[in-house]
Amino acid sequence: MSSPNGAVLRVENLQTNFVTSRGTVRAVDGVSLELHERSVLALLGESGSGKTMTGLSIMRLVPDPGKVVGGHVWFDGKDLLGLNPESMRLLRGSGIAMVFQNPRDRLDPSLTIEAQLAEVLLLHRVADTREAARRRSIDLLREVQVYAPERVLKSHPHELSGGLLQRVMIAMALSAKPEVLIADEPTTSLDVTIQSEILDLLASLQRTRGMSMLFITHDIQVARQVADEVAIMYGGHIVERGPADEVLDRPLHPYTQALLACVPRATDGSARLNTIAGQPLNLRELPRGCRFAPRCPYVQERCLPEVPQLLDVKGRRVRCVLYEEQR
Amino acid sequence: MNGDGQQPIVSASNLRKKFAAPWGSGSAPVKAVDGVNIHVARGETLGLVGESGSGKSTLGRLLLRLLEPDTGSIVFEGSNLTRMSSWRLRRLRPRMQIVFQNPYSALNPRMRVHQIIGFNLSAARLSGVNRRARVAEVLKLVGLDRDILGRYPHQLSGGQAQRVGIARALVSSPTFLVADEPLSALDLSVQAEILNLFGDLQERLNLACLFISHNLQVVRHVAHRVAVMYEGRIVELGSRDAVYEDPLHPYTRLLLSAIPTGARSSDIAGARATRQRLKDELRELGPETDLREVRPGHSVALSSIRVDTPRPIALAQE
Repeated sequence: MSSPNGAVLRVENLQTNFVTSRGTVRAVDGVSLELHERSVLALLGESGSGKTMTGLSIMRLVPDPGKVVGGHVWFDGKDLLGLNPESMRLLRGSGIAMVFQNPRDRLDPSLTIEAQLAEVLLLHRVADTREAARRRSIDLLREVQVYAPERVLKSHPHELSGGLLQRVMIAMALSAKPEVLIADEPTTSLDVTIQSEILDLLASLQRTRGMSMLFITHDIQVARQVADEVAIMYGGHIVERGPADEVLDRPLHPYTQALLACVPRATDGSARLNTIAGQPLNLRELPRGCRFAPRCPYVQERCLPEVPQLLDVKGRRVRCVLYEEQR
Repeated sequence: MNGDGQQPIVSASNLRKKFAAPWGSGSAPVKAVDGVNIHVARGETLGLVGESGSGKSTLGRLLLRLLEPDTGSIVFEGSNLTRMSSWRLRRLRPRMQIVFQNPYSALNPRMRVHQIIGFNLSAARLSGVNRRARVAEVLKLVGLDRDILGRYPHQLSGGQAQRVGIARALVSSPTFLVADEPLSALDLSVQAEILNLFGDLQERLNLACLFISHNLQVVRHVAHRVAVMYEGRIVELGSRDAVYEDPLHPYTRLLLSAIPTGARSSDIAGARATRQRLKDELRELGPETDLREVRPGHSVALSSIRVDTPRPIALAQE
């Protein structure tokens, strides 16, 4: 454990590339972030922004042909990127655990929930016998508010609803008492009423267990609801980062401003929505300078030659030349 | 009949559709659509909301007779679709079209954009020149450049692909359009573009549109009237403002209360209690009842409601 409100997880200058026959895609391009103790950081971005790859890079689970090619991930005094595979394997689950978007794809369809939970509990030595694992599983399922844990343990994944499976995944992720939970779009495949239940559950577990959470999402309202801090990603970069209500109520970066303006307002109906000019980024042909420059209403010549620095502005970090004078 | 008095383009009565339960499960058949009456008027967008499994996509497909209903009738522009021969139905197809959720899987990967859009003109038997002119016209309508015509679907961005899907649906000048979750596969900034496009098209083409979505904010943005579907039945139907500002059915209120409002979750317990109360209310509902109009243009399937007590406006913000 680190000092109160210190960073539990610190990512420095993370670089993840995908080398393909049609060129190199820089999926994560110099991402730095700190996850503070007992707090929730939402990583917010559209598809292809690099938010999921950031999460997977931290866990060292980037799929081929992707590779983490630079940077550091500091956790518990160690750089995870330098850890040997066996230590990393044990750290997944006990130090940092992850919950994914589609629980049905992440569970083995041919095994019962009991067998799959037991595997994790035995691996991390939380339980040393099948019977102990079963008792521990029931406790865990109760903790994630599953009302008939015995019945769920006997089931196979296809017999359970998406919401229930996501609860099982959360129980599994919590089984070895991780300090950090990375939740990658955990409610995206769920219906709204189930989504709200799972969000409530994650928020209360984070609080009661004193965990830190990296919450990856494309949904601004969800981010606003769960997060203490947000980091906005675009084209592999973090473009803005700071306290959630400040960034989402008074966005500074032109991309954040444009994205927030696209949200259909619940209050007025038929008004036209704002859109972002231009085309979404082609990751194979990234602009040299600011990634948002081709679509930005405030673009200037100095945006083009090189990527702007992340500047400190009013207690947050913004990657935009507009704020160079205001430092 | 409620609404603005326009002649309905399509109307359905007492539609039912059952699907057999998965093989070997021993369960009863699933009543996907269970006695639905609905109409869509010219120039009107009817939003159809509900959760997965509520039967909204099935209803959309039944209205186009892409699925055969078990019982019930569908009248499209004055003719009864349910009793129509497949030959006559095909002649009507250009006038009733659909836009799908995932544009990539809905477009033939081996056809170029001009072929995809032009294909829906086959029935019109146009000459090559006229055909190309019509494709160009509709392309402009959906806001695409001509240089896209020679591309294959995989060379398009998500927003472009969905515009092609919409162009294909509109090229044959339909009067009725079913849009089945047309935004769900798209990013937020692209969603906004497509949503604006739907607004423009609605105004310009005077379509009757059934807009199916699980996203209540999106539906609030596009729809004139809203139908809420739950377990195969329509449980609430009314003008957009009536449904969103004065929801009567517990299911509608549950859906609205579950929208992430962005409020910081300090009041988790309160919100959760509200939802739990609504769920209990939903469970305790008596036998299924038919929709009945409780005030002009607002119907609900409840046997008893306390309409006399004034209800707080905007329960959604509760």
